[in-house]
Amino acid sequence: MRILVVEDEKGLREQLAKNLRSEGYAVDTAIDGEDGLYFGREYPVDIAIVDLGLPRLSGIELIKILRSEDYLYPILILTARSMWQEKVEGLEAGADDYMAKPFQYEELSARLRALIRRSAGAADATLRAGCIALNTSSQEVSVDSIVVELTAYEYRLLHYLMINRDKVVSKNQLVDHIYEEDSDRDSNVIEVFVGRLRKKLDHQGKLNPIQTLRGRGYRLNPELPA
Amino acid sequence: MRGVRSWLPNSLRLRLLLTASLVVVLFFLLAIILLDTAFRKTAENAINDQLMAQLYALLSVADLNDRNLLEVSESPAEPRFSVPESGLYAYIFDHQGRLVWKSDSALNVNEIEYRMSKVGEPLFSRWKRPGNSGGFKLDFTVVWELESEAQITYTFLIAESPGRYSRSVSDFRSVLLWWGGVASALLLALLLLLLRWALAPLRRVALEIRQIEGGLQQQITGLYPDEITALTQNINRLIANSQKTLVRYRNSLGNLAHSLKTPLAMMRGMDIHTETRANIAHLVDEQSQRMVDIVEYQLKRATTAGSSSGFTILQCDVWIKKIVSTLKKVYSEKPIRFENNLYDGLSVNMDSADFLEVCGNIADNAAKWCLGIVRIDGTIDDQWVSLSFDDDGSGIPHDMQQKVLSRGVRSDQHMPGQGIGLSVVVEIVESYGGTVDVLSSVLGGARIVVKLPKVSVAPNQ
Repeated sequence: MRILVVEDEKGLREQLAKNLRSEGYAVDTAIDGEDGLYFGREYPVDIAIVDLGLPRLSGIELIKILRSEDYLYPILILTARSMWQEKVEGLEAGADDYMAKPFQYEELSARLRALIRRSAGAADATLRAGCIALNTSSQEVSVDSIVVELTAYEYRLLHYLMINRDKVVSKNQLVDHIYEEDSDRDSNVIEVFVGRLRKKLDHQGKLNPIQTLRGRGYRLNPELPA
Repeated sequence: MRGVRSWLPNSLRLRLLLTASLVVVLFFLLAIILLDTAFRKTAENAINDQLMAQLYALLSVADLNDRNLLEVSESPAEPRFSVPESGLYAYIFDHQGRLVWKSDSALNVNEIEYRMSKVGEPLFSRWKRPGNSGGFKLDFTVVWELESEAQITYTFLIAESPGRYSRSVSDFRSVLLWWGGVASALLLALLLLLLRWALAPLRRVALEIRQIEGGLQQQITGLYPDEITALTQNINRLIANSQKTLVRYRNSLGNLAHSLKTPLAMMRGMDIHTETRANIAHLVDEQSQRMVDIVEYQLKRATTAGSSSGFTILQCDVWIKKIVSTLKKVYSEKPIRFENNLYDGLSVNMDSADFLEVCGNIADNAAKWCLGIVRIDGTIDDQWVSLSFDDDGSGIPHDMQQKVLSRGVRSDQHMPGQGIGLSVVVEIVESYGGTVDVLSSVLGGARIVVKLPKVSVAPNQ
């Protein structure tokens, strides 16, 4: 999942980015509201964290503009002032959740996962597709209750496919959503990841968990046995 | 209107003077026009009468001779008829328009046209003479009856040059303009004095405000006309509110500094060389959380507007809807049914940020502690508006129900939050003269009732 962090305080921004990357997110960062608006419009963001007290363009204005332009990915706002008036204004502007600073990172992480689940229509922390289960809290993947070890990029790829389980996802989309902007992106590596994932999820070759739709992309098999 | 406003001077006195001057000038112009018109009409009527008199005099000396031709037997009595170019002229025309007789004064005045009036009816009109400004003339047609009962028609014409008329009109206008100008100037001068006197209270208010800014007085104390009294009372209220706010901020900063010293002292007092890493981590975590709570508490106390903020009338249901909408988003993963039973028209006198803080904190607690239902009701009686928040959670034990309103106390340590919210709620509500009660709900959980003074005037939103 690709996450945008819009935070003007350098220390907090870098700390957040580091923690999020360790959880498997591809993280893009912006230092002010105008920067955040550019990233929010131009990059394939799956979820955003927006600080309210931003220079050049306030967090509230940033959210309003993104929503008015139909950018509907979940947004969590951070606010130093935990007044209810700010909370109401932020959520009325179009944000989906808020957290007051200072916060526990674990709580922020849990809220982000909840927002991602909510946007995917999932009811709890575990995403399921037939016999494949992906626990977004523990980042544990299992097939028929047997835990499968995945690399960071394999996890990100599977997570993205499960969030979009009823859709065809192109190779370019996968590249955009599992890699950060500054990383060395190679769409050919996606085929390698998909190949490896298939082997890890389906030792015996019976499930065909990831379907290739020639010329279009990949899709999680909608007929996976439970 | 914007264009008009841009060229009007910025001074109230100048604006009033300009507009009053405009009114005075317009009034005098109108008066001058009316008086001039009336005078000219009167002068013309006088000339008409004079010409009629001359006409009758001429008629008296005109008669038919033996050959039934009209002749004037002797000169008319008016001497001007005998003097060439005297300005008064007489003519007689026959029914075919031929000149039968003219006075000696009309020796060289041939460019005149007669008009045949109705018999016996004089026709008074302007006389347009080439090279002249024109005067007045009177045409009068008479019928002579002969012995043979035949009739002969003649038209008598008396004409006068404008000289006398023009002079009298000119004299009148000179007098009118002179005295009109003098009267206008006097009136404007009087207006100026009156304006200065009328605006004097505003100058005194400005002076008092400068005294307040300079620290020489605390409030506006002078006696002022009714129209300005409302303004001075509002200014005094604003000054009092800002002073209270300043005191509140100073107190909060002082309390904040004082309160932060304890956790800071505890952290600095710890011997990091002998304590275990676990103990250090625990102390830092505990004391930093305490500092967070202190900062949040003092910040919320400092930014409370309080009842001194003036009268903002809030429709409770509108603002509760905003809170419910916010909580639905935040608690989207917990299936909560929010029952908002507030009706239209339930309103309180309160700053909107304070109302959100009070009701938001209570509703948030209810959502946090509930199993699935949060109910919000409102009632009103003679003095109070009561808002109640019920949840179906595990409730608050009786012996804890008043204690949870105190700062830092929570009835259950298993839920997130550090107990700051309700204590801030109590402070805000009490600053408006209200009360907060913690009870047990029929739903099984807690019931928080906030009572606020009823609005004393009709809501205007």
